[in-house]
Amino acid sequence: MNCPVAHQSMPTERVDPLMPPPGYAQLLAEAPVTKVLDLVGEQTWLVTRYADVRAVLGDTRFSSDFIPPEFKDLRREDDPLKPFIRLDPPEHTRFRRALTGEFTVRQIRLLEPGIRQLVESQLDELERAGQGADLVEHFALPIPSLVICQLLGVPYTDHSRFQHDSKQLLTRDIAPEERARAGERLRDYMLELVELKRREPDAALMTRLIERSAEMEQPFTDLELASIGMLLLVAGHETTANMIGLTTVALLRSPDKVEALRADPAKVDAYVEEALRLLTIVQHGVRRLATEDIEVGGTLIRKGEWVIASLAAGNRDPGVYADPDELDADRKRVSHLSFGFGPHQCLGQQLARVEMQIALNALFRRFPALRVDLPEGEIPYKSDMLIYGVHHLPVGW
Amino acid sequence: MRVEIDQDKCCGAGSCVLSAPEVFDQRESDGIVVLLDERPGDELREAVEEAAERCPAAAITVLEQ
Repeated sequence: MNCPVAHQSMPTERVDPLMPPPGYAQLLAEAPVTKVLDLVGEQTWLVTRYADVRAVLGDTRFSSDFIPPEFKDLRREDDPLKPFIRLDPPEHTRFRRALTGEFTVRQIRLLEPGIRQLVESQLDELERAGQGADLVEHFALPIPSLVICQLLGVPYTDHSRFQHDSKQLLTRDIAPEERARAGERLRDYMLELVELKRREPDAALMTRLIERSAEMEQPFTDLELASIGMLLLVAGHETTANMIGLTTVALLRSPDKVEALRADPAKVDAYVEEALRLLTIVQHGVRRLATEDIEVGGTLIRKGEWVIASLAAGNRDPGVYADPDELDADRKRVSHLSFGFGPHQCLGQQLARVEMQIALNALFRRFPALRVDLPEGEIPYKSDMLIYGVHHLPVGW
Repeated sequence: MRVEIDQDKCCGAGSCVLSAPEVFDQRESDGIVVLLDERPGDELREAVEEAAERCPAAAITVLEQ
């Protein structure tokens, strides 16, 4: 029986910090479904082709209900706080359906004027901070943080509490106890918020969720509400912040692209989709667990085996994208995998798109001569994090 | 061209509304897909096929009839 054992680790070493590790291109060409050792040294299948990534993530026989090995220090089997991204249908559906109405294309469009205003005031702050100011601290991070806080009904004055703990959760090499404590602090913070909204309802999402929950067949417990809040808070600011920072670096490498975008700001959605595809900040892919024997791309994956679907590799599959490494805002629109695929596909994707579109257009309009104030080799990229990005980005204009 | 949707499969990602807003919408209450035009004209074929391709839940089917 064919039961391969991996001796090679999954690719993690980047050569160009804006490109995935070159090992992925080789796997795409030579071994699109292969056994590797994951980040913590466990045997896992690694799937790299666009079609196979979609096949895995679109098939719920590949379960999301497990404790990821890289988080096993953080969660116990009986953890009441399993985030709903770690549930399968129909349990997952109970959470997802309670939230999708908050993130529709129409709902998010209603937020646009507020986001525009907020982006302009962050640009003012960046300008006041002066030449050499950190784009992450004054622009990329506060925008999505403020937006998700307003949306959820979290006082932004608490941001130092949750920004630090969110970051701890996403750090790769961290002492288990430290990560567990960050998780507990965030949970307690959210439990306090749920209690507050019960006492003093407002017009924000958490209050609406509490009201909606009361009418559900199986209402959410306070712990479940806290876990939803935690997930939205962490997913809502880290990811978009990283994309804004990283896309700025990528665009500044090609002054002609910045010029083209400035000349035609209506094309910003195409630039954002290409940036999402090429930069794929979920840099180590998305994990699933096979609940039965399933064939993927001609290879049999056995029940009980891990599978990692590489979003970064699938997004550069040469069989799907001509010149896959090119940022081509005019390419024929093919969907990308950066928001995942299947029933767990990013709930906040329309919000992320709108935030990025508004932020990038406004940034290059305000600072036509924006530049990174660091030699390329000194930009602190987030190789140490589960979600890629830049830690800091000093800029001048 | 005839379009079918499966509201039970839909996960409310909203991709179809971005691709073909003339044909798809989302329910206000829970974001689930609503079909606005079951038989869109040929000028919308590309947009509808894109919507079907992008749908993360495979909830959209395009039929030739």
